[in-house]
Amino acid sequence: MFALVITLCEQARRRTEGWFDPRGLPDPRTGRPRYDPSGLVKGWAAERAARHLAALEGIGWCLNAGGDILVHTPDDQPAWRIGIENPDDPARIVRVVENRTGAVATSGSAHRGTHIVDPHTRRPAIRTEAVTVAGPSLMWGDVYATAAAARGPDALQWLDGLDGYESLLVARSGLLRATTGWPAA
Amino acid sequence: MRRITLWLLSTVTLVVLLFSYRTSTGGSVQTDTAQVTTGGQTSTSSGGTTYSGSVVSTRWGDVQVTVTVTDGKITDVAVPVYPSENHKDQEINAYALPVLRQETLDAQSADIDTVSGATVTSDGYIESLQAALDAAHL
Repeated sequence: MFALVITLCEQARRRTEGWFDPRGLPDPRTGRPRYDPSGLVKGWAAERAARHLAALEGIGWCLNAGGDILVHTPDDQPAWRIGIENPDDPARIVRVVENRTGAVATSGSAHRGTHIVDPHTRRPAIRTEAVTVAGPSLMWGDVYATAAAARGPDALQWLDGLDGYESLLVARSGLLRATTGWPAA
Repeated sequence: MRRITLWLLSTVTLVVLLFSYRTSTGGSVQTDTAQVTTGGQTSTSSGGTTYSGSVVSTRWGDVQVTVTVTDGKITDVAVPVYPSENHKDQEINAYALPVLRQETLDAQSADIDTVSGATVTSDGYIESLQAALDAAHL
């Protein structure tokens, strides 16, 4: 299974033009470099667990794994309303998105100090406070959000080009920017 | 894998139950959270029962979660034991732990079903929460 994770991480590194890179990330406590695939495995693990829910017919469900969301709605039920946390004040919401089926992943440095690291400089990435990516896969949403948070404001153009995924970026200044297909407020 | 499935599904359970939250007319649930019991339960003045999860050791210190159930619904979540060894822990926890409860309560009024945010929840929180839910037979 570890070999699978490594393979997926390699794929993620290529897809994100190197901005998702689990190699040599500094340990938050000691600062020593280590291999840290957590930006990928959380979404991956949640998605695998959700297969059990997906097998239920005619049932709507919502799985929230520490802020990574997966939802499904049968045709006869209303869509799930998903709040996106304000990175400056987690008790408040910046936006609400309605989603019938799919994933919403958010990455950023709001909690537990700064844990998003620029893989090129190995220093904390601070220009973007939070990135939310909505799309079909939670694992890829997680990867893209993590990569975009590390990349900074330049990530918007790259995110805009990702087929099937729409994103919202919250900059340090509080400015909200979104990809072309992100639902209007 | 099964363990991950179990606690993730219990998070679902918790989310579902939390969103049928009803404010108890007796006001805030209990003031005796100082009592720390492993997997035990205590009765509160407003009639709910508090179930304690086990104290879980994490890299940063111990974590314990309690869940208060009134009439089959979760009416409160508390974290009586959390890492507070150094200044940074206290800073993070003073900020993050109350927010975990408040996020749930505000979600009710914002007419939303769930919140997507950057990961914060420690493994210790989830593990202790699972034990608390088990004790409450939820």
